[in-house]
Amino acid sequence: MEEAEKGTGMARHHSLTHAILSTRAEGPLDADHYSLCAPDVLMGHDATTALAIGPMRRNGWKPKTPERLFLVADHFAPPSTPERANILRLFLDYCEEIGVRPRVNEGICHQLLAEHPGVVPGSLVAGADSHTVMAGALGAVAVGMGSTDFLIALASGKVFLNAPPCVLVRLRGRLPDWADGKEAVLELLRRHGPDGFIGQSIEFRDEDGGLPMDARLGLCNMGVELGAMNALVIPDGITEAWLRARKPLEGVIAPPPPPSPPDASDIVHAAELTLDLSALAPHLAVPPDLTCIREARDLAGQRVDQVYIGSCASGRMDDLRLAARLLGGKSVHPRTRVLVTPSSRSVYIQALEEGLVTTLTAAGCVVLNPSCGACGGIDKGLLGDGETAVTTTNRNYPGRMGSGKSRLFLAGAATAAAAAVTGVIADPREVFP
Amino acid sequence: MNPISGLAIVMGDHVNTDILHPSWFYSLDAGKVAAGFMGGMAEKDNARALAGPRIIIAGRDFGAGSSRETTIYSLIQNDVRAIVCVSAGVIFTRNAINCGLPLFHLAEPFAAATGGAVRIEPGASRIVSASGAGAAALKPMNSHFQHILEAGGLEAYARKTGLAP
Repeated sequence: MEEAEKGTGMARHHSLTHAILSTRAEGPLDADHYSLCAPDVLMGHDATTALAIGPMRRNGWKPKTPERLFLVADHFAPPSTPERANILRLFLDYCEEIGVRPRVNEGICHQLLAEHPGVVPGSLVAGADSHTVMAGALGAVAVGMGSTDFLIALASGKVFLNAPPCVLVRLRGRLPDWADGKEAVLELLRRHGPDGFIGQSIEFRDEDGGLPMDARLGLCNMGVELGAMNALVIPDGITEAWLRARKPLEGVIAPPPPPSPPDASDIVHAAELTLDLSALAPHLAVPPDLTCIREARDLAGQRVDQVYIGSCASGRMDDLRLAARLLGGKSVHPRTRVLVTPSSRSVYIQALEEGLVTTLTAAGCVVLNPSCGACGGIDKGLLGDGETAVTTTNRNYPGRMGSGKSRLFLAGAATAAAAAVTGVIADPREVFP
Repeated sequence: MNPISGLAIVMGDHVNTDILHPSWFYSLDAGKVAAGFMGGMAEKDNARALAGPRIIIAGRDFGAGSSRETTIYSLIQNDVRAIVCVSAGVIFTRNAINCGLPLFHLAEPFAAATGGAVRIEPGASRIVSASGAGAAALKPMNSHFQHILEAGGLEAYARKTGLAP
């Protein structure tokens, strides 16, 4: 390890990710060397945790660090089939068995992580779901993993991690008032493709303070769609202000605060690029995957059967406020179903208090319970053969939201709202001038 | 690691987990998981018709997407013995190795056709077609992954090393 560093002339830490992981690792780690790291928060949800319960019982293992466990029923709560009800039952029984309070019907695990008082700058968050990366928006290292990694993390309190090469993305300018974090990630996908950062870390530096926290969460959420192991936003004044105002999730005992993250200005990233937020234009990811990103105006006129605003990639207050602002006083197109899913209970309550639910419902939207909903083909709002949706979720793969013969266009909330009122794909800047 | 032989299932770039194993096959029922093998592929019948051990030969960004480990279970249940690709998703790679399914990266292009017999020679870091018509170098596998595979997967590795006795 030391020789490798000498040989490459590499700084002691080649990324903030590397620096944070080094505070949690049992030994040295870099791109090629893995080390056991102790997460501050270990998250599992009903679907992925269920796969680990059998092996835990078979091996006679008990959770090593139950105080750091954060278990959320969001995929199958409320369950949509008897089989999923049985999986949920297994999950809830296991939570009771190990004495960990499950979070049921409270929202999507990734949004709840953002509300978790133990997720702060410098934290290490490991979660059994790919979109765990979203917590990186708070300046944490947040990594997704599968059920066997989760199993061993449950049993040992540790997970093997490396510190891959890192790209610094300098964010310049300010997000336009019609845009959200999805627009930034669609632009990165357009420029670099879904494997443009494969196996790497992405670290965003918001140089002009132009990206609000909800947009940062949406951006980091799709770090995994850019191929990255993790994505984080280097903590700044926006992070501090957001954390001061955060209403922590009730009933969670925060772990001891992590060591203060090092000054990121000392870190020399090996690669960097710039993204001008003020120059963003509305884009959509064209099915069947994330390799084709087109401007809304180039796709204008394509019929839309359903609009979905929600999921862990969206469905936060800024997304709902934007949708309500654009849809307020208007009506959704008669042939287009519009579904809205707040990402957590607290978001739902705040949306109620601000009148957003009334506004959206009056416009013809159906506001569903906070959960994974139709994203992942899980719950109400699935698509039929040949149907097309514009959705603010994070994947547009065939069958992701119902029929394998349906088509999903990923977009930001404004483009989704434009489709909601016109029944077709449209540029929101033209629909809502 | 011993040589691995099988019939090739050739796939292109950006084959994601929802193609390899659609989410509606997620289950705790092993039979249902196995039935979802390649369920999102247009040409899934060709892959399913192959008799005997199989080796996936894929392009860039293989296995991007969901962390659902049932995708890997379905490959193993359907006698996929190894994956050889240009690049693969981070979580997918970990899931494969953790479940004892070797995943190699190509160091150079390798031409193969679905149904053709291929052999991976880990010691020589190469893949060859049984007909002798093609061969390609493989990138060295990370030593951490090698140790997990040698133990039979991460669960066995954790027991063997005392990480989770």
